[in-house]
Amino acid sequence: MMAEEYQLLRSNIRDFAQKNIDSIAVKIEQGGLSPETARSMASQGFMGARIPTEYGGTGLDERGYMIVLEELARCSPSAAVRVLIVNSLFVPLVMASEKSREILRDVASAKTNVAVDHCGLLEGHSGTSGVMIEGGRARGRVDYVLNASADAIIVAANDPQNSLLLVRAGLRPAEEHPRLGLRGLNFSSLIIDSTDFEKLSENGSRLIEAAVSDMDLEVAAVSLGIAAGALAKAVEYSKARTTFEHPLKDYQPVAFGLSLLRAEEEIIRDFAYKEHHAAAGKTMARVRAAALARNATNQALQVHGGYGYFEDFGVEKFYRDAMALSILFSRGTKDMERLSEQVFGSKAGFL
Amino acid sequence: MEFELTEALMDARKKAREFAIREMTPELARKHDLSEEYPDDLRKKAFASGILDYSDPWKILVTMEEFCRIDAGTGIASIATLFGMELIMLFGTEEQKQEYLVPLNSGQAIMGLAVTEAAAGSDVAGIKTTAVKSGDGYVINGSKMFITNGQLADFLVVLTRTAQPDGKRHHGLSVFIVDMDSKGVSRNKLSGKLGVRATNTAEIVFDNVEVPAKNLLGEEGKGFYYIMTFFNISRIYVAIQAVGIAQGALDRTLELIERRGTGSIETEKEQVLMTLGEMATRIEAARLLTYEAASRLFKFNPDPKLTSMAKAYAAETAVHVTEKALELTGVEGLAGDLERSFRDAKIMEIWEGTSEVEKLIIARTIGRERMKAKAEKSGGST
Repeated sequence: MMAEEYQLLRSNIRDFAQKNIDSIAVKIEQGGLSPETARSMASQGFMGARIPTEYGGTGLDERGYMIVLEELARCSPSAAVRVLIVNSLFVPLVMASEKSREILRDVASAKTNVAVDHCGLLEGHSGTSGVMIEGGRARGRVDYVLNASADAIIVAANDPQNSLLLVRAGLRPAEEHPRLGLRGLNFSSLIIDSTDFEKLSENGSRLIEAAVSDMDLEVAAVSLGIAAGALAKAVEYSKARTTFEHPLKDYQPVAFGLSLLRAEEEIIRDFAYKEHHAAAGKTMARVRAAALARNATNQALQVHGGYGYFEDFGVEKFYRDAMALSILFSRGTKDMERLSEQVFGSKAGFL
Repeated sequence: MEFELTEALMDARKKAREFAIREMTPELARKHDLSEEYPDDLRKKAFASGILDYSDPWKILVTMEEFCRIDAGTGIASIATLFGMELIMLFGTEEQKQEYLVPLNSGQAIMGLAVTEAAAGSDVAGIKTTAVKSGDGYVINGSKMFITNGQLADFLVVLTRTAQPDGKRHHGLSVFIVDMDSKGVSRNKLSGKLGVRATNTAEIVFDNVEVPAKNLLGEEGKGFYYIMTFFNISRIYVAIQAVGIAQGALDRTLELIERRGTGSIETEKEQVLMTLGEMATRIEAARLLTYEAASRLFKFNPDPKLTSMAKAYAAETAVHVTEKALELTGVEGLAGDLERSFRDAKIMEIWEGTSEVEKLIIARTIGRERMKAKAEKSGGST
């Protein structure tokens, strides 16, 4: 696509998100992302952003897909992450098996809601996935599943081949975990007991791990959307809100602070969206965008004062989501080791 | 110079900690966090236990620290039912003290302080609620925002404007004790807070509320001064809430790291150790600042600069430490009790004066002190 086409794509998605997502963003936080909203995102081609057109998807290139994620995250990070789970985790894993790809049609249309058990591979998780295969049944319990109300899930089984399984039925969300962020998506442990499953490949954990590592730019795009959404609100609010008889924006700490964050946002965006990246560049974009999102949302909330602490103003969700995203879609030390290895040209920062 | 708590205080701390561990269970904390309901049973238990001794501010300070260390939401909700009482203690008549303070101390009554309005937060003098003299009393009109205990309180101490400012915005303000069963008072619970969700927050509307003259607190026109005096007290309690939250987050982080690792943090990598070392240092610094500010206040010699330093630094420490706690503990922290600490911590940088306001107070006080010192010096030399 040409630069103008990306611009047009961005403005179209922003229009859609402003009209259809922003207006229900608080509702998504309170009651979850509804199937209806998922379908409306699917009708725009977001759900199947990276699904090849031959399987009913949109077949967007990486940059187009990043724009989708960023613009959705500007209004509702939960909505963006729903798209992210499908296109950055589920799709590449399903593509490993030709005969399973048909499911992607229903995923692109949001008829089938999917999840991937990727949290087990993140830091701070001492347990292991407990899915066994016995007599034609896949059964067990998986902790920390994001979007656990899904109809189908990809898990790495506890068998000798560490099979990557696509389980299509027999999922039951169990104990719900406290949810810091991404509240539009259910976050709980999942009981699996199913005869309707298929093996996609072997070495499941390694493949899921590779998919998580391979989504640097996509996660950066969601982080950028969170930062941009929060900063836009803070800039608007500081124009309208008066304190000590002056608009907030007239005070140096407010104006300088928000301006510097906006500068960082622009610079990271330009960097993240550039045409060619060295491997290190992608990881750099991911870690810097995540740091920006956390910093920007903290300051955006602070500018809103007491109002920022209440969900109605739509700014506290960005603060929660920036943190939740940086835990659920980054691998802390592993990302830093990866980045250091790229910077130093050999293994570094492992002692 | 002494850095040890007295034996009586160490005992109070121990009792508070035991109570908090026993009663403010993760299940209870999660329940109230989810439902945003006020934990009235817990409040009653806390009063019945005898550990809430409001006659000794040091005891309340360490008790609040230990409560917040276990859970800030239910902890603050059960101990801050006397929020604003110092105003009555310092500026009230004997009659007002008898009528209002006695039932508070026994846990029979709940109070709150109503200063903030929709368009006036940090800018206290910008309030619009008015109290107009009428017959034997006053008539109050206006509305107050984000009032802690607002829906539960039997009475509120309310800042109003009684005269147009005479060129200075903070002149012409007065404080009243307003019974919440007065005609014309309505209250709306405010839901959807990021954290401290067990605490009750409400918007209060005064529609021609008649208040007898005897409910005026102190002198008419001195309201701003009273409220600022109060903030210099309450900020110390916010500082200790923040210290408690940060300490609790560090406790939980250490437990989680020990459990998933070798049982001791000593075998962790340097990145983890250095982060833990910094968290612990900041907490200790915040605690020391808070205790020093408290020791001056409790000897009736408050130092507003130190108080603001303690409040701002402890609040930033709570936000910083809870963030690092989540970083270090990852998914387990996120799906456990640490995520609540992260949400609770942020209000510390906002209520009772934002961090920005505290820093302005610190610098302006330093400026005044320097000018005073210079004046004394030049006065002495001539």
